[in-house]
Amino acid sequence: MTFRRAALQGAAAAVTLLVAAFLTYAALAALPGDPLAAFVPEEQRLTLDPERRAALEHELGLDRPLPLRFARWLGAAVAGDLGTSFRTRRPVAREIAERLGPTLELNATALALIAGVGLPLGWWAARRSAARGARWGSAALLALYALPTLWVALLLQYLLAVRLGLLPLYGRSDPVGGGLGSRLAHLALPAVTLALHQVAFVALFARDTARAGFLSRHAQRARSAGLPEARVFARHGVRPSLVPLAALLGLMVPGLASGSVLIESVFAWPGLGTYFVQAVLARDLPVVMALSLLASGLTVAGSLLADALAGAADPRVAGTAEGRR
Amino acid sequence: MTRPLAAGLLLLAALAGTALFAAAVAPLGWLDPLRIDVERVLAPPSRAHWFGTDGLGRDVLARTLHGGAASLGAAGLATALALSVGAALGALAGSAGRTGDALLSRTADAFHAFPPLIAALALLGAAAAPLTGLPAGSRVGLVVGLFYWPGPFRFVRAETRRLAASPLADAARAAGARRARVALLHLLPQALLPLLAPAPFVAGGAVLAEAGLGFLGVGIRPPAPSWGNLLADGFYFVESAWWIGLFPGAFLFLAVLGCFLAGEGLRRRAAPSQDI
Repeated sequence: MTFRRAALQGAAAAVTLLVAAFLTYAALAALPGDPLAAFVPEEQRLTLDPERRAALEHELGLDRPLPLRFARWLGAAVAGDLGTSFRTRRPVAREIAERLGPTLELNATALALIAGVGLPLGWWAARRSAARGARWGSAALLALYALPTLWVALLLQYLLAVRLGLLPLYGRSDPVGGGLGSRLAHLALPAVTLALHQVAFVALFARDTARAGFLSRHAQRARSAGLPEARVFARHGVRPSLVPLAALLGLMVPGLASGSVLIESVFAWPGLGTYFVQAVLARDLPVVMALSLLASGLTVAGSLLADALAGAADPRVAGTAEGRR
Repeated sequence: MTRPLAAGLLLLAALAGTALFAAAVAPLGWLDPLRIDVERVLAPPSRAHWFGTDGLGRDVLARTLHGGAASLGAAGLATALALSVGAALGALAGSAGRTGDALLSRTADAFHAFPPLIAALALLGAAAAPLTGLPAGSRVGLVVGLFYWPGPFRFVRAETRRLAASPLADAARAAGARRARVALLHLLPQALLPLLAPAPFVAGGAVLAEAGLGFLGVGIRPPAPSWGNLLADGFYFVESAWWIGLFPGAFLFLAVLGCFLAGEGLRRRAAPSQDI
């Protein structure tokens, strides 16, 4: 990967983010009709007398055109000032920092499951792809991919928590005596449901790449040279499927972010997902703006990472991909 | 026709058929999603109520079928919007000059940077003032479609770029057609083919997005049923009445499966060598 290419890609990503930030700002600060809505909670805003209102608008710079206001908001955001939450009257940045931990814990566990289960599942499907009934196996993988996260969450909650009483229904730990065991038990269901969709995706992907690799001519040659089948598969099936997978991880960000929002809401997980939903329902605009921006920033970073990894792993990709448009 | 494609289309036709059937018999007083059976509140599946009743004594079967009409309608609108906007802008970008292409591509990237569910949630929950006059289903469909167009855009743009260098484009230009006309009338129809396989996956994603939004309470709202808000109901009653969420969730699963099977079938037709 050349420096020029990296710089081009970085610049493109920065432009993308800037446009995304402007869209966020325009949609949330301008669309509601009243620009003050992004700064003053509704119940106070509606009872403001006109003089106080004009003073406030001037103080906040709301009498200036939208691009200027956006520049000001962005400047503050870059400096780490994401505004103050309407609901709690605390800095948004601090609230986000407090809720980052649980979300990271959930997503890291899910990622471990995605790689640890999805990959072997895909390899297994690839090895069996010539066997009888392989079509049914591949249909089963597709069905796994089509399973709605919410429905699975509901079924698992009912079966494992309500009927069998094996796992807690929701929460992050027991209010009293919440040791490691309790934490893990609370983590199990949310992490599994969050991972499920991507497990199927990774398995489908690993299956296709591994299969293409181990049916290739290199693999045929290795076989004819007398290498045992297991080694042929490891070298020509498993290895090539690992390379694009690294890139795939970067592209999982949007799915994991959306999944976190749903799963955290289902299981009352005290992370950024529930925070976002609460903020949306309470029209807590500074929080909504900050988290939308965070989600788009992570998505852009993820795809940048994916491009870089794909380019580093396979030089043929580097010359053709996005950066050269 | 490949088997997955046939199975997927059959599944989707069956689901659409049951939804249309429910809508057709509603004027006769059958399968009324709002009628309350006070005698049987939270009743498990029985002869009178095949899928049981919910917390107000409403028939879960009727709500699931009518909810399907709402959910599939919203997802269909979102898909149609994403495909048509994505394809049209993609064709324009693919045959535009450097500046126009860069402008459209960066805009697509910016929209693509938002996880659709999160962006739609923010927009519907916090800022949809200009859209409040619309029926809930169309509102959800429009907002979801707004964040799914970059995918189709990329496919069509790439294909149009390839075609723009072909004799097809030269011929149209030689005949005096303007740039937009060449893009939309001459190149776009040819560039739609690579969009065929991803399209059902877009539709499946839109169905899931509607369900997520309905579940979170910003999509189609009760008392009108949708698969999303029926699932939310299911979670509310998870400890006492499993049937309330089980059946709508199963229908949702079948709809997404139908879309994905159709997409997989089309993909195999496009690339038979990958047939597994």
